[in-house]
Amino acid sequence: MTLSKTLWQANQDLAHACLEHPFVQGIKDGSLSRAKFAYYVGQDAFFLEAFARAYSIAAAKAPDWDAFRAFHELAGGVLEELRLHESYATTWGVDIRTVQPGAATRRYTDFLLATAWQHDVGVTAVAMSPCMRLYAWLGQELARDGIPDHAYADWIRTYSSEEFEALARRLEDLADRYAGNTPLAQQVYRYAMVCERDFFQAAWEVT
Amino acid sequence: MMGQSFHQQVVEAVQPLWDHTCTHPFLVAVAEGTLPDAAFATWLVQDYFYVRELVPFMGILIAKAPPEWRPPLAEAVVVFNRELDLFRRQAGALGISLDGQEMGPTCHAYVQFMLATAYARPFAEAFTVHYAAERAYLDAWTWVRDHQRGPSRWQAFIDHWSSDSFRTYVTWLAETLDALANRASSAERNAMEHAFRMTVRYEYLFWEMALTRQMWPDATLK
Repeated sequence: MTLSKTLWQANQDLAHACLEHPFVQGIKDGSLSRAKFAYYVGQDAFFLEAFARAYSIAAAKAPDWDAFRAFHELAGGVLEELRLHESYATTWGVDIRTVQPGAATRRYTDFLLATAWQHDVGVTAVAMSPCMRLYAWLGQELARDGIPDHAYADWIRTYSSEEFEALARRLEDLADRYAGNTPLAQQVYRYAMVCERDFFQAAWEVT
Repeated sequence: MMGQSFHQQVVEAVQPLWDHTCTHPFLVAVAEGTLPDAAFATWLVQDYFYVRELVPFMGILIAKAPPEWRPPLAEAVVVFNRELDLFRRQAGALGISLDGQEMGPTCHAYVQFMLATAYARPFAEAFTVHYAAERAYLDAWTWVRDHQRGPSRWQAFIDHWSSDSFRTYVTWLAETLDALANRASSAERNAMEHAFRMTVRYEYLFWEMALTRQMWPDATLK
C-alpha cells in the first residue's frame, strides 16, 4: 500500500468525524445557515493563500524538475480555486481581501508554512495531502446520490469533480515519491486532519 | 505615541491581557505553594518542548539578523541549551519523565506560529515574537519571586527567569526592539504590534493549558 493510502486509512476516525460533522451535513442537505458558510468562505480564502505559498516553497525546494513542475502546477490549481472563491464571495457577501484569520485558521496555516519552510518536500506534501484527499472524499460522498439543487451545490460539484480528484492524486504521488512512513510523516498527517476537523467546528460555532 | 517607547507601547496595547498573563492563576498557585504537582509537571514537560524548538527559531532569527545583533542572539542559544539541561535535571529531581511525552495542542500551535513567523515574516516581526515571549517570562517569574510565601520546590525555575542576567538580556531585547520600531514604517509597526499580541495570547494559553492539563482530543474520539 502507498504511504498516502496508509496514512488516509490510519485517520479514518477523523475523516468520518468530518463527514458526520453538522457543518458538512448542513452542506449536504442545504440546511447550513448562510452566516456559518459565509464565515467559512472567508476563512477558506485566507487558508488557500497560505496553501498556495506552501506549494511554492516546496517548489523552490524541489530536488528535481519534475517535482518543481508538479508543485508549481498544484499552486496554479489553488489560484483557480481562489478565483472560484472570489465569485463565491460576491454571492455570500464576504470580502476575501480583508479577512482576519480565526484561531483555528491561523493554527492550520502557521503549521503548513512552518512545515514547508522547515522540512523536505516529501513531508510538506504529506502535511498538505489531508486537505486535498479529505475534500475530494467529502465531495464524492456528498455527491453520491447526485448533485443536489440547493445553495451549496457548487461546493459539492467542485470537490466531487474529476479535476479535483486528479489534483489530490497528483499531490499524493509527490508524498509517496518523496516521503517515507516515518513518525514525523504520521504526526504531520494526523495534525492536518485535526486542523481540518477544527476548521469545520470553528465555522459551525459562528452564530 | 511620543514619549512612550515602543517596547512599552506594545505592552499597553494588549492590556489587560498582559497583566492576566503575568499574574495568571498558575503563577499565583506557584507563589502560594498550592499548585498541584501534576499541573507543574504538565507545564515542565510542555515548556521543555517549547525551549527545544526555541533553538531552531533562534537559528532562523540569527540568519536574518544584521551582523551587530548576531552575537547576543547567538549567546542566547547557548543559554537556551543550558535551560534544557535545567529542565532535564529538574525533571529528574521531581520524578517527572520527559521520555515518551509529546507536545500538546497549545505548545504545538505556539511553536508553529513562532517558526512560521521566523521563516516567512520580516526580521522585525520575528524579533518582536521573541521579545514578547522573553519579557512575559521575566515579568511572570519576577512576580512569582516577589510574591512567594517561602522557598518553593520549583525555586530553580523561579530564580532562573528572575535573575539579573536574564533581566539584562530582556533589557537588550527591549532596546533593540525600539531601534527596529524607529526605522520601521507604520505598516510594519502595526505588524510588530500584532506579532506581540499573538505571542502574548499564546503565553496566556500556555498557562491555561498547564493549569487545565490540556491534552490532544484523540482519547475522546470513538
